Amino acid sequence: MTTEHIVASPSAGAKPRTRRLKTWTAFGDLGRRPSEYEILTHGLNHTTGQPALELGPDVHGNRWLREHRDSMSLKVGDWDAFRDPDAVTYGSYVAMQDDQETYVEGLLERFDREDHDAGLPDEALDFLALTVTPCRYLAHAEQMLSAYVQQLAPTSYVATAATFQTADQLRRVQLMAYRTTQLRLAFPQRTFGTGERATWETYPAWQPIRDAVEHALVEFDWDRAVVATQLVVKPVADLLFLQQLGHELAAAGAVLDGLLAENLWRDAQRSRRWTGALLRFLAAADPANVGVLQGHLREWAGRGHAMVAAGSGLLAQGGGRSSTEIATAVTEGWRELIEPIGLTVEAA
Amino acid sequence: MAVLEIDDIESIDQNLVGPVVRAGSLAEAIIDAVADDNPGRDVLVLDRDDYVRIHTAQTCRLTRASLERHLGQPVQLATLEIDMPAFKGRLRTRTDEYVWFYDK
Repeated sequence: MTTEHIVASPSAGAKPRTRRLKTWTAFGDLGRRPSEYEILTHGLNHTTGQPALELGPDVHGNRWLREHRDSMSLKVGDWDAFRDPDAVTYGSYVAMQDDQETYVEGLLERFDREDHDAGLPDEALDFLALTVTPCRYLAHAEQMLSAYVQQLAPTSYVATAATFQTADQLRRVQLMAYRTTQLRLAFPQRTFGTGERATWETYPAWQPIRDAVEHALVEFDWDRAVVATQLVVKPVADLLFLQQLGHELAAAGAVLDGLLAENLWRDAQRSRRWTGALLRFLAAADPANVGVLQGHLREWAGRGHAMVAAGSGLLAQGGGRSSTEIATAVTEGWRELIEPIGLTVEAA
Repeated sequence: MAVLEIDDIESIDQNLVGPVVRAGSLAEAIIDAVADDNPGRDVLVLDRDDYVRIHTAQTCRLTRASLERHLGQPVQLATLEIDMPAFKGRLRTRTDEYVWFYDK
């Protein structure tokens, strides 16, 4: 190999180049410069010291973290090695969702201008009251569940992804509330805005869904909370009440609500991407983690299947596809999320 | 071979070739990738704050694999052209490799 030394004249002032920007030593030897996402996300968890919170070791918060996070069976050498495949930062999240909200506001204005709601047939209104507006409760529960996954996450890389997932749910709750109010104003004789709570708490086909959500809310160990929220309740609920409901709403003539569900499904897909990455990360960190997850999943799969059965029955009332067809599509979507690392949704 | 900072390109009587890139993390990754992709050659960097000249003598090779390694994410070489307002020499483009070369 020939070598090409540059023969620079003194005036060229050639000297070894020093970087103006330095990497953070906290990253160790990455072998490259940390990305903007990494710089904004790395090592932000302030609860990983000893004790976790800078308070007495026996204050409630420290006992909670010891018992529900630090004692869990998942074993990971370096939690800060996890990366969100979408590398979402606060700045990119705000910009991305600003675009989505602009689109959604445009839809609402366009359909409002054309008096869309006044033209909805009774069957479509019944279907909206049964499946769409009660989702305010479901989405708020998903918001609380996501916030708990964030609160106890062992690394800020997971916490940050879960924070944006929480924000996605807040966005959905706000949109549901807005649509509910629009429908209440257009149809004051109906119970939009006042009847959802009774539907959520007493309508038979909603009960397996409420049951799963409420049990997930009292899963305090972080690994169990991840399984309940990220692997069962949220993916199944989103497949049902965003992806599949979107198709059924379009078929039932509720075009606007179908388009809104389709847009919210984008957020759910981002959640699925980082959840899938987290599963691969856990499996790679220690193969025994797959067994831990499967143990929790075995306890939870039954509730997931009950959600699929009840939810697909609800959606079939729109008069589109049969509950069997909807259930098959949802189960397939659920499997696609968890089976790549060898987990199964078979119930105990 | 080294990455050298220079403050004047005219006084170097070598046939320098290579990209001119907007300053930033992409430029820094290209410098490291060019250093890897051109063993045996010094990499000369002329940093003008707003843009950076990244040159080697006679031939300057940049592979997608090296750039991805230093950038830490997938990248299409074709997208470089947004951040590359100019270059020195002639350029041959392939999906996985850009080569700037001197040709009379």
